[in-house]
This record gives sequence, C-alpha cells and structure tokens, in this order.
Amino acid sequence: MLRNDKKSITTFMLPASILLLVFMVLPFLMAFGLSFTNQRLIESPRGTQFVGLTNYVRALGDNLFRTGLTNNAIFVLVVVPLQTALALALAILVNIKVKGNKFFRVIYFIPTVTTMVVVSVIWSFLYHPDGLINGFLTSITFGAWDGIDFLNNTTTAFPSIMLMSMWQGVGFQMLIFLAALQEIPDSFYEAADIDGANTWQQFLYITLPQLKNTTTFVIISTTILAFRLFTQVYVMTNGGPQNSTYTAMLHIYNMAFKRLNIGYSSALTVIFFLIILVISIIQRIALNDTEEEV
Amino acid sequence: MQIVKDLQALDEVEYALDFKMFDVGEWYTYGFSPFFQAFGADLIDREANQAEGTLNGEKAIEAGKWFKSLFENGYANQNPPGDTEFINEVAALSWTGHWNYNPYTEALGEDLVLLPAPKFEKQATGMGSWAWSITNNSENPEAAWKFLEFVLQPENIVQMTDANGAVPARSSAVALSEPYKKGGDLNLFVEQLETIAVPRPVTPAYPVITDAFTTAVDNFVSGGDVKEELDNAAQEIDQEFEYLGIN
Repeated sequence: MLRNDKKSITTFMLPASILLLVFMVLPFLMAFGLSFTNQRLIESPRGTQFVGLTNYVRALGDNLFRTGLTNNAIFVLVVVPLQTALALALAILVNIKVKGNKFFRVIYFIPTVTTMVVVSVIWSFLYHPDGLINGFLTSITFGAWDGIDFLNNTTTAFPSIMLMSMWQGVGFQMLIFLAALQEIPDSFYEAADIDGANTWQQFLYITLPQLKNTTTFVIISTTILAFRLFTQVYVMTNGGPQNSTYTAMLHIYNMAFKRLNIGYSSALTVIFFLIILVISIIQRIALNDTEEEV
Repeated sequence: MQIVKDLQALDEVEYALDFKMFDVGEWYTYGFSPFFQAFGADLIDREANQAEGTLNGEKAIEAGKWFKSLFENGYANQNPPGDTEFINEVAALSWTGHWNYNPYTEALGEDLVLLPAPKFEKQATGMGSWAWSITNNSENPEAAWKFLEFVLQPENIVQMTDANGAVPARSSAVALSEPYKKGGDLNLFVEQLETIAVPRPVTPAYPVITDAFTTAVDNFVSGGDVKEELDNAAQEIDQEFEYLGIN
C-alpha cells in the first residue's frame, strides 16, 4: 500500500529535515557568517567586529593547517583503498554459506558499534612500550624485539592510527558490501558455472560489476569519514609527536576551543568544507565515468 | 645536576625525575614555565606584550635544551603510562604541586620530603589556581559577595585545603592550617609563594600563550628542535597579540 501523496511524503520527511536544518545547515551558515568576524568563544569586552577577509588571509599562511591537510591527504590515500578492499574481502568471506558465518559477521561488526573514544583508549594501551603488542612481539621473537613506543615515534605514530582506524571502521563498509552481495541473483553464478568460468573470473566479471554502485558509495563515504579524522588523534596522540599526526579537524578544534578564536576556526571550517566538496565531486564524476564504460 | 646523576646511578631508581608528561595541557605551562623563568627567560615580555626575543631568546633556548636533555639522558620518562611513577617508587623525585601531598603521604608516609625549587640563575615556581569571582552581569552581586565572604573565612578555607591539599590563600588561614603554618611540613610552599613564585601572564592572549608553549615543549621533548619550536610558539603568540590589538 504505497501512498505517494504529498501529505505522507512531507510527514515522513519532516523529522529528518528539521534535524538536518537545525544541526547541520544552520550551524554551517552561522560558521560562514562568523568566518568574517573576530568572534571569540568568550565574548571579548570590545564585542564582535566585522573583519572582512582577515581570517582567510591568515589561513593561507597557516603552516599548522597545511601540515594538517597534508596528513589528512596521506590518511585518505592510504586508508580509503585499503579499507574498501578489506571490507569487500571480509564481506565475501562472511557471505560464504557455512555454519557460523553469522557469528563472524557479528565479530567483525563489534568494533564499529564501539565508541571511538573507548577504542582509542584501549589501543593506546596496546601500543604502549609495555603494552600487549610489544609484549607479543618480544615473546614470539624470543626477546629479539626491542619495544617500540608506537605512538611516540614520528615514523610509527600515524601508521599506527591508520591501522586502528581501519580496524574500527571496516565493519560498517563490510555490512554495506554484504547487503549488496546478497542482492546479486544466484542465477548469474549458475550461468557462469555452466559456461566454465572459475571463481576468480566470476568475481571479476560478475561480483565486481554488480557492486559498482555500492563501491562508489563506500569510497565516497569512507573518504569523507577519513577527512574528518579527529577522535583517534585527539585521544591517542593529540597531533604529536612533532605534529606527525596533526589533522585539519584537530587544528580547527584547537583554534576554536583551546585558543578561543571562533572567527578564525569558522574560516578554516569553510575552507575545509570546500576542499572536501571539490574532492567528492571529482570522485563522483570519475567513478560514474567508469560505470558507463561497462 | 650532580644530584640527579647520582640518583640515576642507584639500582633501585629507574628515573631520577618524574615530570608527569602524560598530562599534556595546562600542567606544562604551570609546571615547566618556572624553569624558563629560573633561567632568566619568560613566556612573554610582560611590558611589551611580545613573545619574540623572550620565549625564543638565548636564555629560553638554554632552558629548553636543559629540559630536553633530562629526557635524552634518561633521567625522566617522556611517556609514562600514568601518574604512578613516584607512588610506585619508580622515580626518585617528583616535580608536582601541593595537590599531590595527600596521595603522596598516603603512599610514602614518613619517607616523603618536600624540597625547595631548584636554582639556576634564580629560583622560580608556579602559582595561581582556581579562583572565586563574581561576573559582570551577576544579578545579585551583593548576595554573591556575602556568600564568598562567608566561604572564605579562615576556618572555612582550612577545611577546604585540608581536603584538597591546596595552599590556604589567606595569611590568617595559613596560621590555622596544620601542614602550612610556620614549622609545618608544607610551610615551604607558603614561603616560596611569598618570595619566588611567578604568576602566569594576565592577558586575553593567555589561551594562545599556554597552548603554544605546551605544544612547543611537547614537540621538542619528543625529539624536535628547541629553537625551531620556540620560534614557532613565539610567532603564534605575537600573531595573537596583533589580532587582539594589544601589542
């Protein structure tokens, strides 16, 4: 009983629309407005003044913001392909019809439903010089392994956070891939079997093309989530050592809530939004093009 | 320095010093800017509202290098697992505030000794903590003042400081406080506050000063270049003075 009349559509749209408007659109418009002022978190005695493009000019010369953006870019370039591939692999694994596959689906999904702060704190302990990971490496190498302070070393800190982020996030993408995998009709595979295609060929010419839309969605959403990298860094390293894990979001947060400069951090937010918008649009166009070729 | 070396040489001492480096935040400014002041430097030039030349001046760089060397030489742990080094007797000396007096006496009892701040060019310690205030737009400032007047009577202050280990902030209350009165275990705190303590800069730019200083110390202690980090911090602080229009 589908009722496509305007009244029921509006009724169903209303709650989500109100929430989006109040918590997403409105704050963003406010940020855009504030980015042209010298608004402080604690009202300054001289009040808030219009300062034109001052904040934007300052952002262009901001070395820390640039460091943050570079780290973000590295994070996206490493994590997005790896996490997407891993999610697909896991989805195929737990889709195999054997006893207990539901159990594994739950296991892989648990990190995703655990709060990021909790995950970060636990992984900080794992990565500690006296932590579980170093202890394990020491015992399997019979003491040859010298404990590494993973999060306190400029070369290992960021990869450690990447690894942990992938572990935490991969379950969600796996679930989306799994749903899409179950949508592919069995008859395709049966036909391929009769034609003599092996498993690898079936994966390449049936599974992958059938998952095209899902993959596009997963890649774009993972990219956006990866750009928002904040909680892990804030809890585990606070951007250090020597800014090797500093991200744009962390910089925006520091400017607003540590240095109380709301106007400036609003300007950074607007710039950051534009960067992500452009990247998402490019991705969409690029991924849609390949779809038409198939 | 020789004392630190001798302590480190003892078998039962893993680290001569405990600096509570896990607490990256206001502790860094409160705890470590006194070293800079003791070396003859400061966070900013307080007359000119300028950091350039003070926070990254020769004496500040010297202080930073000295502090960094404590970690490079293994006298202190740059990444302690938590606030247990002193209580678990892993570290011999603990650089901390009066708030740890109660937990420390509980753990060490009679073995706990309070030492004066180290002297370089001069001595310096931090000061200032949570404060009471009445806001500008308070609807009932008189009632608020009456309340504060009552709460801040010497007997009431001592009740608070007995519980949280803080230094009583009125001379009349100091005289009533068992640990802080003349001859008490903690009278050294009162003495130092009256003579060598340096307040943190009172300026609207303070949030930036403390954050920039904390970041710089955190960065050079974990391997960065002292001068480069202090240069960055000074530049950020001066930018804020300019932004606020008070330089």
